[in-house]
Amino acid sequence: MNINSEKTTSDIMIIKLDDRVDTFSAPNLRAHFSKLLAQGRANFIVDLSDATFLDSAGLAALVKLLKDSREKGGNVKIILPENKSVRRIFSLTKFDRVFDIQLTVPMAVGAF
Amino acid sequence: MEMKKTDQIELTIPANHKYLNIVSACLEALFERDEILKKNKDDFYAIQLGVHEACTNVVDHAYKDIKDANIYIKIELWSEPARLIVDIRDTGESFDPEQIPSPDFGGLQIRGFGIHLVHQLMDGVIYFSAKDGNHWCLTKHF
Repeated sequence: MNINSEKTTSDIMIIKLDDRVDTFSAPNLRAHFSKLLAQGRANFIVDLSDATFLDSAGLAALVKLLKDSREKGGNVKIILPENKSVRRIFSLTKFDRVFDIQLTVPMAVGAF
Repeated sequence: MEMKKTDQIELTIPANHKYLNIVSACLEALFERDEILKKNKDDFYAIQLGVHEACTNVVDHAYKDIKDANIYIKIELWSEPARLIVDIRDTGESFDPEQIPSPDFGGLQIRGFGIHLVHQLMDGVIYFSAKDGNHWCLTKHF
């Protein structure tokens, strides 16, 4: 998994994840999120459009980010890939009702 | 009806999160070449994630306090009726799946979805302990 972060002019962090977001890569992801939260970031867009696999540990890292960002008055919006694989874990765990799922990054930016 | 096993693949991997992608890669390779699996490509992700979550459970719980352990995985392809059976064996601590609470849907529960996912993704899920260790036996029908 690669993590690419960039900040928009409106102070939203866009975090793009690719390949496998799983139990092996989750510790790095959690550390990255913690660092950004410690820097005062509260609003995030997690772009999973190039992710090929997401497991419950990867999903748990996203849920922790959502909890922490809400405690800071922020939010997390998610971009899902077109393939139904990664979408399925969101629906099976019902987190598709908890996260604000957006179609594209510009739409997600506009939704803040 | 006669049950017929067409092929069997066995994998032994160190019980470490680092190596679980090998199991996914093996399943993906099978889906590329096997005629029955090729026709059921939509089931690939369900099997891949179901097997992965069961293996993660083995690493995190069965081998929680045990180092240098292995996971023994047997993938069986059967015809008449067509199905795939994955047996995941460990020699660590057993547990009672009945004692696993259901996840709290709709909230922000962070852990505890793995076993729920295994049951949702596979058609058959059996856990048992035997002389040779604990087994997750996962079945997908085609």
